[in-house]
Amino acid sequence: MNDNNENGLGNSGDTEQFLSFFMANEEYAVSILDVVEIRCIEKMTPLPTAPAYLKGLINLRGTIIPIMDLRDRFNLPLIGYTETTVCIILQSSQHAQSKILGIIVDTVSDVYDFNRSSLKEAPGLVGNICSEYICGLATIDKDNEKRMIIVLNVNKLIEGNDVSHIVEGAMHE
Amino acid sequence: MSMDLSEFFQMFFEESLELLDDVEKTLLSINVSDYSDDEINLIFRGMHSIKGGSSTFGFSDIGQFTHTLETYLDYVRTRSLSLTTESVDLLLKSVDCIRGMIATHQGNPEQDISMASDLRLQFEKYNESMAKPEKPTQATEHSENSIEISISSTTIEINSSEPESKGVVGWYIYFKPYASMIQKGNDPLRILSELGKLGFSLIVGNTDSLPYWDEIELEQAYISWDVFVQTKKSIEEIKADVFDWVLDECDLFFKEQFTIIDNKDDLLRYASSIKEERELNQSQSHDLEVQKSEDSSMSGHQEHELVDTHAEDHSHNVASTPEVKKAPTVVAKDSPSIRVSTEKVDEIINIVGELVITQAILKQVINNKESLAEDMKLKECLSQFTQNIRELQERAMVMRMLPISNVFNRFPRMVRDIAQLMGKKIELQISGENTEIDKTVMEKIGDPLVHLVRNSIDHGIEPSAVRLERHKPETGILQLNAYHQGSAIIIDITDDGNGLNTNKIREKALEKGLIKEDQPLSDDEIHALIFLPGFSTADKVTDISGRGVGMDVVKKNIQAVGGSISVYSTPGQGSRFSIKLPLTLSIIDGQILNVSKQTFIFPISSIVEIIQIKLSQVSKVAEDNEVYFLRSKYIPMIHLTQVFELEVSSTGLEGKFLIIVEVNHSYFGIVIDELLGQQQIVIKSIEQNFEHVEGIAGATVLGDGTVALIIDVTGLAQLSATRKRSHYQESIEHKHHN
Repeated sequence: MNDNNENGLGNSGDTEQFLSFFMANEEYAVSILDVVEIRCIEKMTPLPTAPAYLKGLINLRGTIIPIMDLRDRFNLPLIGYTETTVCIILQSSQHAQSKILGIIVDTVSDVYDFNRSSLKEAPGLVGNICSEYICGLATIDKDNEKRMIIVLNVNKLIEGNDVSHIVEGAMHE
Repeated sequence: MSMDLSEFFQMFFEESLELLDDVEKTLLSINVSDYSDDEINLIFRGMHSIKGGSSTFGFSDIGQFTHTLETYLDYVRTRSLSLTTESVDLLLKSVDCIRGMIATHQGNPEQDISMASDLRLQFEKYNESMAKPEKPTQATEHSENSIEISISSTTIEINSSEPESKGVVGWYIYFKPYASMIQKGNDPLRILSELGKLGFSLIVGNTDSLPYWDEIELEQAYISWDVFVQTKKSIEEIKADVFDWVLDECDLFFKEQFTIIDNKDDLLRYASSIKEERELNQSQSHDLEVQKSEDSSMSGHQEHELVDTHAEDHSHNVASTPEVKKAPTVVAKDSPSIRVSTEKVDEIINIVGELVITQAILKQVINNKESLAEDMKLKECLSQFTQNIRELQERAMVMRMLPISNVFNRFPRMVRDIAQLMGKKIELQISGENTEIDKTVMEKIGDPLVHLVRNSIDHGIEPSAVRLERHKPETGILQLNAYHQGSAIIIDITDDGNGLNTNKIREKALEKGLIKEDQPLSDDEIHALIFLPGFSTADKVTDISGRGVGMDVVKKNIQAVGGSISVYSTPGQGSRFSIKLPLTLSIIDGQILNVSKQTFIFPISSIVEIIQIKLSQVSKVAEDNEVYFLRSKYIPMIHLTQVFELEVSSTGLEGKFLIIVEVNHSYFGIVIDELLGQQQIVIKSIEQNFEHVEGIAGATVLGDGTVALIIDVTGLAQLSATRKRSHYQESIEHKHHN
């Protein structure tokens, strides 16, 4: 049970909605409750001395929020931004002073309903991503074909600014 | 009772703490051999109010403790006992103790209030020396067989050496609580027992209006009381001592007595004899009149009676009654201030901040559209609007400004205690305590100041013997001084002690590996070493300072609020720590500028001057360190492009500007491409959603809605230094490899 909580799998029973998006032909999802809004790519103010994945700061209705490139953060090959590239604004719900962060992804895909308890535990490493950033893997029936979706742990994503953790696995390989 | 008392609790706590602050301040300044009535009364009243409140809310520990203190203070007030340094010490400790008790009730356990019982014992010892019950006249003997409720106290009147003189011996009091009094949680019994403490008393309850059991409502008041109490106190004093909390909640009637009423029948007879008069007065009490009348039924003496006037003061009538004249007139002051929670003020300031940004956007929109930009009327409106917003913002900021005395107030006590502990003689001189500073800055500055003051006492000022040897006055002087300088506030902590020992600091820094053996350092640079993490020169670790976590934390805390600290010291003569703080944290005047096509903002307060670079003044030192020769001084140049690793858009210094800033007594020049203008800047936190970025104080939103970074000059200088050092090391390693 404790382990489940660590992965954000605590609530079982009701189905939840998840927003899915694509990065490098892989489909990812975050809980829709963590999503503030979806924005186009806009001009960002680069932040000196910050890690490279942190693309800069934007002004979201008076609040300064950092934007990170999720490809860059997960060590995926970088491509230029296209017309479908979007920025998903996420808000962590774990702390009293919840932080807001934007992630840049290739394109948004769909909204799915599924039960958190149906998630399969992820193997130690998915691609280059350390398993602590992953809630689990979901299997979806869509257009008569089974697809696997990687559900990300938003709180970890926002709180864990330590880049070394994410790519640790990748370094060992 | 279903009333929620918790909000009243909070009010009681706040008020009590304020009272304690006042009491403490007075105690610290009081001269035991020559204190004024005002001073001792202030202390007495403070304790009294806390006692009253705590009994009302059921904090019996505070109530009992303050009661003992109050009794003692009453003796002091009437000069039956005199204050001593020892008792002032005890009183100060008691103040701490009460603070601890309050904190416990506020839900902070682990307060050390163990000394409470000791302190109480001490004061009770004082009190006992006074309270030898001087056989309180025959009255008591009579009373024993005839009174229904007789509460006589061990702390009877003081100075009652001539009991049978012509004067007033006591008061007849009629007391009838309203239902509201009981609903508010004031217990009549408590008031009666307080009355009993004034001296010999005879209390008879009148139960005529008591209904049958099944008709009784719990929160109704049915009983009235006729009381005779033997006391020297005036009406005002009795009201203040006993009825203070319930003046508006009951019928009260006072009549002075020249003979003692010592049995129930006499009291009841007297009560009915003046019933008419009393009722007449009560019906008139709305007119708030002070009457003078005669009463011949009892003794034939002239008597004056006073109707409860609810603190109204009718001086022309009062003047004719000598007894009343000497009593302190309690005038309910119209308080010119209201309590507003800081959150509400912060919200307003935030909204004002947004307004400043909106105004900047509006201005830009108008200026960008030609058709609008030429509209004179619009322009006029806009400038008026700008003016108003600026004023609104200034007013809003002032709401959050508090005098620095709020921080300074703790030091007289602290310095006194520590000096005593260490056996040093120290005089604390405070000036500029009315200098105002933003509350948010003030909250952060308390701890660093405490640390610096402790350091000065511990390391700075020498013991008396050493001072005499050095031909200095025996008493060391510690000065706290606050003043404005431009848009900054400066706090100086100056002592006339040892000064910093540069040799010792150097040794220590070597020992800890903070500097290298052959590193040449100026005195200023050596002084700056004490701010490095893990540095402490105290030979032995003391309670007061010397854990080695000190100065770097001090510096960090000060930098966190955008301030800086510098130290000036002369060996053997003393040292001065100077803290520079921004007046406010949220809105500053900023210089907008461009470096490599990116917009940055410098706080104007950090800029010494801006000059256009003349190539002839630039020279290179040791590979790629550039310095600028300005008025016979060489100023190191910092390139933002290097420090922040920005793309270099244009090379060469021609036509660029140099912003001269001062950090820790040294000047730096920061190279920038283009100056854009000055504007009010609302500082927004980056840390809120990200983390602290070295060299950046925050961000703001510009007129076009984009984000610009605000430079933290002190951080920038440090960042530049570390960059250069690591660069230097890299190049050395590089050479080794080759």
